[in-house]
Amino acid sequence: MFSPEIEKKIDNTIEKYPHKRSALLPLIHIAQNEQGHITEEAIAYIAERLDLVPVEVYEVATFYSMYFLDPIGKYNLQVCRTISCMLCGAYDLIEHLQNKLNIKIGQVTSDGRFRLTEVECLGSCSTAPAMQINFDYHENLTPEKVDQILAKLP
Amino acid sequence: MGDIVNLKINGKDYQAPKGKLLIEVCLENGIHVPNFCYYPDLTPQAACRMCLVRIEKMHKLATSCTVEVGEGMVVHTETEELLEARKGMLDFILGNHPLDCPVCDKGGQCELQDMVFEHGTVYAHYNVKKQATPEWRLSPFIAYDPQRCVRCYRCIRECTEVMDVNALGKIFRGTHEVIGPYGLGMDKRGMDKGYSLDCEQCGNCVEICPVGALLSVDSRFRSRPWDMKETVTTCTHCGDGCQINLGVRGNDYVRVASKDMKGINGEFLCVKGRYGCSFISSQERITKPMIRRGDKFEEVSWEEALRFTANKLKEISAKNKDSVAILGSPRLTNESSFTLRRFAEKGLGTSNFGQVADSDWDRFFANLTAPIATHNQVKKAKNILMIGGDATENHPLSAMVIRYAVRKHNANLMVVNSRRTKIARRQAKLFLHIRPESEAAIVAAIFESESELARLADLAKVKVEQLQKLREKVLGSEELTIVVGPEVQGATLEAVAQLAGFLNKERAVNYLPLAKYNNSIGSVDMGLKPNGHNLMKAFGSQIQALYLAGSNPVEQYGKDWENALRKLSFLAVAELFMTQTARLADVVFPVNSFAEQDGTFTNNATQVQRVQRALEGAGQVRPDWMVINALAREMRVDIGAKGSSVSIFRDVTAELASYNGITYERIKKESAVQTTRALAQTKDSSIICKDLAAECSKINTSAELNKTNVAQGEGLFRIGTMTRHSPVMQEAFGESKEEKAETVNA
Amino acid sequence: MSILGEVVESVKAIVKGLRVTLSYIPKEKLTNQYPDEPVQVFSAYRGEHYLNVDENGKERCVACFLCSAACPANAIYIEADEDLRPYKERFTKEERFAKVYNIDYGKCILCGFCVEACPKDAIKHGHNFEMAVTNFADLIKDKTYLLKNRERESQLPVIIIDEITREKYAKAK
Repeated sequence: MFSPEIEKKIDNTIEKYPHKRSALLPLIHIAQNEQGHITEEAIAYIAERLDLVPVEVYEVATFYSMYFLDPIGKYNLQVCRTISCMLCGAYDLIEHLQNKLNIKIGQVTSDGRFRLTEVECLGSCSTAPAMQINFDYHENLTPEKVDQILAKLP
Repeated sequence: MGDIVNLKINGKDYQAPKGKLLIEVCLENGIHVPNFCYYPDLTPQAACRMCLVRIEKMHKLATSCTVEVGEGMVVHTETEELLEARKGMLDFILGNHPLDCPVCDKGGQCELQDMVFEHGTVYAHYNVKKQATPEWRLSPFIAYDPQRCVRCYRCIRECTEVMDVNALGKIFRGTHEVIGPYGLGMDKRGMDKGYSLDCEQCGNCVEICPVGALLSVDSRFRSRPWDMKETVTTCTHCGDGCQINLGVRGNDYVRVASKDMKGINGEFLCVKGRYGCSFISSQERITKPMIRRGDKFEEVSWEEALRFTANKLKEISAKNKDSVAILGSPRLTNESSFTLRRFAEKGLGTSNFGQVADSDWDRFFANLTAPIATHNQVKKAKNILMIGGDATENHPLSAMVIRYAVRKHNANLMVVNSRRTKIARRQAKLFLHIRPESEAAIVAAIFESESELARLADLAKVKVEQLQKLREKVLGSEELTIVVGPEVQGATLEAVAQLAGFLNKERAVNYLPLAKYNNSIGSVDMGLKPNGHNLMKAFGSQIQALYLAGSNPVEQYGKDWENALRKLSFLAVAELFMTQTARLADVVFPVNSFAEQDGTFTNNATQVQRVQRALEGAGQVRPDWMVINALAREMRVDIGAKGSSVSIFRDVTAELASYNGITYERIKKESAVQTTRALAQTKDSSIICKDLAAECSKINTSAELNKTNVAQGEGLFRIGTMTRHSPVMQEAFGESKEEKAETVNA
Repeated sequence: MSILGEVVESVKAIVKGLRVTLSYIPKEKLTNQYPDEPVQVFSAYRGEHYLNVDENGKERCVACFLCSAACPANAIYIEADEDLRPYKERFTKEERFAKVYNIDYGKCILCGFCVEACPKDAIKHGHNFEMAVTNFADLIKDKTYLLKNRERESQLPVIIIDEITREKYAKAK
């Protein structure tokens, strides 16, 4: 179901481990990076490759919070809400984003552009409040700054 | 078993085999250790942490379900500290557990209730609002209430390890974790789209659930454990003969359970055993004798029906004794089958009697050269040769014990089958996928010299190397359990029975026949030969009258039987339901189902087990043997009739050597008593080879391999005469209403 | 003894004998002129049961069978069933409800165990004691009757004595 390159990558990953099923986490990552989120087809495919049953793959995929089972939009806004950021106004940010994008936490905007999530510590306490958009950090945020960042996104 | 270690528990000295789990040692010695997630034979999980114990020189409290006993261990199981720790764990478990015991079906049987009762006051330190979740119907049989779940994962482990179905998983995590099938919660899918638990629906997860999280939809809200009368009896659906606990309220079926049962099956049951027994309380049962008047049946009194039948039989029998035939069924109790044969022999003097079945177990037992294995023995088997038979679908207990042998000590399982069965796909170490009906070639390969292998392999369409390997394993193994399926018949079956003798007496070889019906073996023992199909050919010519008990050949074997039955001048049928066969009858007798009579069944490990009367039975139903006795009395013939099942069984034990020494008391004490069979002389292998060669020549060499997998539920979910009248089975797997009406009215 | 003496003694004896009776004449009357007047019963009187409903008018009984289990006379018969309709449409608080709820007053000894056992406060003792019937079968009361009993409470020919009247009663004694 994947392109030959990805297939090769999957083969290489499986080879790395003494037991086939150990390659489960990396394989889900590969599938997610490829398709944006984990699809049913991907779960079936991974289960078949690793001699598992789909429910075993599904158990793992639902356990970790950074595996996404639903489409996550183009930009995944992950606002840190752990104590440093919370004290520096992370909740205000979340409130602002919710009003601005007209979605609730965990939802995706109707145009599929943004998804808003709360996350635990991003390890950027010195520059709180912090937010991660896909894989990029944005620090020392204020609602105004967030507006600017969102406006700049392609 | 290895070394014995000494350990001290609560100041007392105990001995236990090394490597045994501490909790097992405690429980075996009567030391109570509370637990949720521990379950015998499942992998340890240590999820509930209720079984905490203090082991000296260990710096923390240890979970006794994961600790193996060691030499010199000093264990405390009842201290203040432990009580506090367990109370703390209960506090966690009760954190989100709803207080809905009055609504919960498990109430009264719940391990959590017991635990809280045992530990006295448990303070709820968590004042957080409980997460309310709706109940889900996972399938037509099983409902799941996530809030009640204590996350012991017994169900998941049962499903993966014991059942090898892998239907359940732990989905999401932390406080959101639920037990469910694949797809649960996936874009809100699953529950909304109806049933999604894709499994054998055995309900074992429901049985071992310590709380009311997994529930049977079938018996939902019907009764309470203390409010129904539970009777231990034998399941009537397949030859394995599982012990079931039949719950009855008033005169109505409530449920079948297997909790804390100690019979051959333990707590294991299959979908038919657990959910397929409700037919006993069906409204469609025949309750009164009926006589045909023209096109219609008229309800009459027993006296009238019996007099009518007796006169007819006498009239026809007067001309020629053999023109009356008696056919039993592999469903009847031993007592009924025995009485049926006596009636035929002594009462009518006819030689035309037998049963409607398509198996040759009489020939198998006549040639048997090794003892029959019980299911518990199969659990310990090292080498298993399985010829034919689909245990997963038709003999779930046998399948479970075979899986157990493979799972627990990696038994060498060799499967010879013409279908790709689940056991062949998942457990077999060696699978010979043969041409349909070519088992003879494989059996011949063991008896014949090596030079014949290539020819025989070609006959069965398997690779020569595979056949060679099978032959080597069978000839070389010290211990061997031979499981033989119902499709193996005739000379092939005889050869299989002779195999143990051929393999040399010194080796520990035993057999497990997979007989199709609950009393296939018992009815053969009682002298009813499976010759119904031969007798059928004489219907209308030599045979003019037929007494048919407990069989529905028209549905099972189709038009041929219907036409043959129509040719008879008189047909009497004793049945539970108005089946297609009963519709052709001149007289229909209403008889008791297995739950309404006392008696015995002999299962396919030749163990005799009790059938107990659990309820009265509606209307004027009578046991089969009582109908026969009354008929004999009406005909003024003496068949040595006895007035109770106990005394009939005493006659059975007096007459049959293999049943010698078995009494109802002994069965009650031991739950299942195996019959001891005289072993046959080993025949010369050249004779067997000759017979097998004749069988081999019948193989259709143009037949192709059946490559499709056996689908889940092919046998388990099949609707038959009995399961059709079980509402939940009918709803889940049955024909639609129109189809049902068609089969019933046909 | 003189005749006078006898007369005095007799009068004394009569007065002594009637003293208790006479002392009650000025006091408050306790006898109920039933059936002309209503009967006074205590609030904790264990009369004929009624089935309770909650603040939204939904039946409280969930057919848990605890009352029938507690019943020493085996007078309660229940059949449970499920009602999967949404809350608004169904008559009961929970999905589980009693399809059949019969109390056989031929057996019932009005001991109150069922009321104590009930975890949902669904069954209560009313104050009705007029339970005589002319037909045995009428002694078995079904669910509809028992539910209606709650409304009938107010029309009963009884005066329920609460705590205050009880104190008054004690004082009067």
